[in-house]
Amino acid sequence: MTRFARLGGYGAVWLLAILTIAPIGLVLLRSVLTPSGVTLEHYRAAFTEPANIQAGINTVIVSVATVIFATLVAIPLAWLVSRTDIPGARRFRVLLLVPYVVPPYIGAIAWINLANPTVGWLNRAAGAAVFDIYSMTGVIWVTGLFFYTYVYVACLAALERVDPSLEDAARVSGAGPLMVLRTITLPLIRPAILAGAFLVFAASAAAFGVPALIASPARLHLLTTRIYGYVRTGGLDGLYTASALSASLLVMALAAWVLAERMGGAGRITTVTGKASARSRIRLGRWRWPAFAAVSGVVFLTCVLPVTAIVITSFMNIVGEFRWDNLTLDKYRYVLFTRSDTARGFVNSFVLAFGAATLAAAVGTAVAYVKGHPRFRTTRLVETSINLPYATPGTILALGMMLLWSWPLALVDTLWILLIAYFAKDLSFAVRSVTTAVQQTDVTLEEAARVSGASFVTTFRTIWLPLLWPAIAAGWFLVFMPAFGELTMSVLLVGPGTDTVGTVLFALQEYADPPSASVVAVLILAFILAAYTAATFVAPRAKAE
Amino acid sequence: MSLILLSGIEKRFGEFWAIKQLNLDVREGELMTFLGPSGCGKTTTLRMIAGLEMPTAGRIELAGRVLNDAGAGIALAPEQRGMGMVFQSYAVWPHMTVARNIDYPLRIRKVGRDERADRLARVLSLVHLEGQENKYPHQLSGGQQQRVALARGLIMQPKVLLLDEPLSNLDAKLRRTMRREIREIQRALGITMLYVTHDREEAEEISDRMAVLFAGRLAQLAPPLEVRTRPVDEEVRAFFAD
Amino acid sequence: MGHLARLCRPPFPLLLLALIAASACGDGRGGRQTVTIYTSIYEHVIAGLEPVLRDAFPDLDVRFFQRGSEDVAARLNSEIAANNISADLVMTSDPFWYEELKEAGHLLAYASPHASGIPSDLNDPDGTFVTVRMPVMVMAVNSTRVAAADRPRTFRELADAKWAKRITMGDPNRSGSYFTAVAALSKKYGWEYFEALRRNDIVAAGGNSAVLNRLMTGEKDAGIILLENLLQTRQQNVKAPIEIVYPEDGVILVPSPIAILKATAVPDAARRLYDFFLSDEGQNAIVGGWMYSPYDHIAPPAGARPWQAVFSAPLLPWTFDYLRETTSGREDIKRRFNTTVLEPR
Repeated sequence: MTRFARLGGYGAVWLLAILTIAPIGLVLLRSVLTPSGVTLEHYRAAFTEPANIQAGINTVIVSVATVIFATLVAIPLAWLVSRTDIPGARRFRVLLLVPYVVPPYIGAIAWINLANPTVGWLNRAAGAAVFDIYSMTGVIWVTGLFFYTYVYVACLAALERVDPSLEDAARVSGAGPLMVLRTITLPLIRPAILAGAFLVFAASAAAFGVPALIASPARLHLLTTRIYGYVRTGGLDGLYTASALSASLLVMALAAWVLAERMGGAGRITTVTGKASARSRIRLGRWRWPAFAAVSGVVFLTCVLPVTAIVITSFMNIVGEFRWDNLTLDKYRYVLFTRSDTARGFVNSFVLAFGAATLAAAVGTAVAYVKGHPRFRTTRLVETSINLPYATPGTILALGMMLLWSWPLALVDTLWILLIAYFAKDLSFAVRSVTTAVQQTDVTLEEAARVSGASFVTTFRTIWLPLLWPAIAAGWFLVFMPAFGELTMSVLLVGPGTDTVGTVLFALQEYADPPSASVVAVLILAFILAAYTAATFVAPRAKAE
Repeated sequence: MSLILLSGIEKRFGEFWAIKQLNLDVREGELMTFLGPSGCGKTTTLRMIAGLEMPTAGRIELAGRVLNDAGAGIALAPEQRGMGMVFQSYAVWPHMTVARNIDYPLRIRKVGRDERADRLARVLSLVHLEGQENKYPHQLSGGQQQRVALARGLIMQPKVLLLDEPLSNLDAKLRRTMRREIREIQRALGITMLYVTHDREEAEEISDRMAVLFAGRLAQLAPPLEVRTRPVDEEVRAFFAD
Repeated sequence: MGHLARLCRPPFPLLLLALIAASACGDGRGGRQTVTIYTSIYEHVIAGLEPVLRDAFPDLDVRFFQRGSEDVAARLNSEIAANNISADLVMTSDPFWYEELKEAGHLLAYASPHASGIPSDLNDPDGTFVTVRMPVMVMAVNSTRVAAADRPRTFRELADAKWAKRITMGDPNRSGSYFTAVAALSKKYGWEYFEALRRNDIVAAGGNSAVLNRLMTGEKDAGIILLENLLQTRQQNVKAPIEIVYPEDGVILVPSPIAILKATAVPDAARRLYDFFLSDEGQNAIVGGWMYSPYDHIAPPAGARPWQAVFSAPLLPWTFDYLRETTSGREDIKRRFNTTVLEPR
């Protein structure tokens, strides 16, 4: 390694740390600092305010309840789809993953249309106000229907890894399928379930879009919406309080995330090597079609019903009137052409997501390469730079960005601050994707090229890139999609002219023109699903873990 | 006396015919090995008898009871067949102690504590694992884990014990010792055993009769001596030539 | 898969990245000055303004930050506290806040040549802000659910028990026009009026569009809302089941000002825009046929009552004394409203 390259390497590592870790550090610093010195005053002020205490309690309740809901839904689904002969298992596997790529606030809009206490579809059909979406239950319902995918994916992966003969042995010993599930399978995949559960907890505690759209109208708050309120309307004091609240939320989220990582590493299940383990599918017999109906019901609730709700609402003239002559393109015209912020938002979001994804893919490839080569050391700093922003709630990361990029370099209210925020938050997806691929690639392939006379750059270009390309492309999409629809950080960082699709939708639904919000939701959804489809073509074999 | 009868068994995986028209009978109290090169269908046949795979066509009977009849749509679930099975990878559950591994079949059937303890003690001494009840599998050697699997398969005193290459993961010396032990247990209990292996020496040493399979077809079913001295065709002869 | 995958092979994405980086760096301003306006004017009005401004001021890059009046105020107040003000001009619907800003010394005094045509009560005597548009609050009903004879005749009537669970308004914590309405109604009828509205379970949330939506879907039967929204809906959506009700106790005036921030880096450009919005061309662009102008020579909105009929007897006459005394109590009014109407009991 030349000295120049080494210096460049250190410089890059420190730059990465500044972009990712410094903001969070600033928030923590701000929570104990005043112009006159170090103090715990901000914490005292924050936690003697009853509304904040209530918000903290609400956050814990919502997170725990979502974990329970998500786990109860995900485990049977994963088991049915992966272990039994349920009809349509392959289709279900994919369909049940759809909420993984869709921003939860889209679901919030859909369920507001469905369960609004006065004019929601479901309530109209029932003839009475049976459901009230504007409640804690509403938040738990919508977040659960999205975050169950974390446990679902973890369970699927773990179920694949279980040695089939462990379950076969139980069957032969006299245990029926449910007994096997209870006594053998579940205990074996418990670490994976716990890992998924902690991830759900962390994600729920950090959620902003759904609580802001569903709970805030009922004047119910979570920590994230309180922090948002303080930053938005609290002036200088507000920033201190926001920082104190952020620190506590950060502890909660990080603790859950660390536990998730610990659990994910544990597990002494190995697959059978050698013989291709033909896993015998459990025959459901007369439960086949009831199971099919149940899983279809879940897909209906997570995909079909919400999408139908927002699509049809977007074409309604007067929302709620189910008549043919009530359908119109007016709202689309208004949103796309009469307003100038929608088109601007789409362009901004696309450019930002594209930039963030490309940057993340490049950095991810570099980091993965270095990790895969023992002669380079990836320092703790790099690992933390990648993982800390991922585990940090977006609200806190955004607050940190605001603090960091005000002086001396004022990037607040520009597109740059959004780019940095998206990059920092989603970088880990790209890194993980490429790292997995590097680990599965034999280093001797590179060595053969070097011995044959190829320089480092040539080797990289001709050997590594082609081999890693599917993983790099997959990592790119894994950053592009969440960055495009991002809301949590954007609401705090967007300024004049830098609207994103998320903030446009948020402003419409929350205050300006709720019926038009469904139109923007449809457009965002269409765009993300198009990106997802493109991803499956470009990187078919790489798995989106 | 035929304990197990396979008639017209066929097994298809997509386009691939793993088993074609297999007919064989297993006599009560004998140790029959399924022998052949890898991919010949011996494990598939064993799994069909266990109920872990379903034949595409044909009938399987145990002591006159129909386990499978593809034509009539009869297919008994594995847990209803009352057999024991030992797997190549031992399939010993890592989250349970030796004792709970072995008495699992009894606990499933809600057998009382005293009888469970009694049967556990007896089977532990049979496989020479006394004193290991409270250990976890990862604390045992490969050979010991296989004994646990064996004990588990025997604790229900089944009519039939199925063994799928049980010793392939052990070293040569241990293999020789254990196969003799298995043969002794089989003789002592008078239990019928179906034993899958790719090792000719092993098969010749322990079998009462050998079922030699090539590419899903039964080539010869006879005692080891007969297969050696009077191979039914060139393929069988070549398989046993050194 | 071929073409798409080929496009995704390097160096294409790298090239694209370079292009994006380059385009993000250069805003294409090409030497134009940036002027930032914080406003609560509706987005579609801004969209209509942008081409007009581009023509009138080719050397300026005018950027809008659009939110509800109170959100704009919150943001600007935060910026003031952090001493990091990005706005050059403000144009929202909470006149009281401008008096507050003036008293704190944040506004630039400027005597625009156009401002002299405006009635004195709508014009800050120190020249720091002037009313640039004049929305008015009236009432509206869902015409299919409320027969003509049953319509509320006055704002006061909404307090009657017959309107229980049937009425709605906006959130004065977010909307400047609703704040102004609450200030006027509380001054005229006292807080008992709002106690009564609370007993009637009034839904007070969102901005004018949200209120209009509730009336259109029939979620609520009657509400307090800006005339501007109603006129526009009636014209663009003939089938809309909405009827305008001019309250007999008088409309609520919301004189919405424009002002220049003292901290602006581009005072000349700001003054030019200030003049423009007060000129006939600017007035037509903002007022655009939906709301009243502070100038009586600008035509009133189509289908609305003439200026004199509306301003001769408003709910509360607009004077500068009223403005000053209400300004000091801004936060109190919001707090009072929240505890009376919004907070759970």
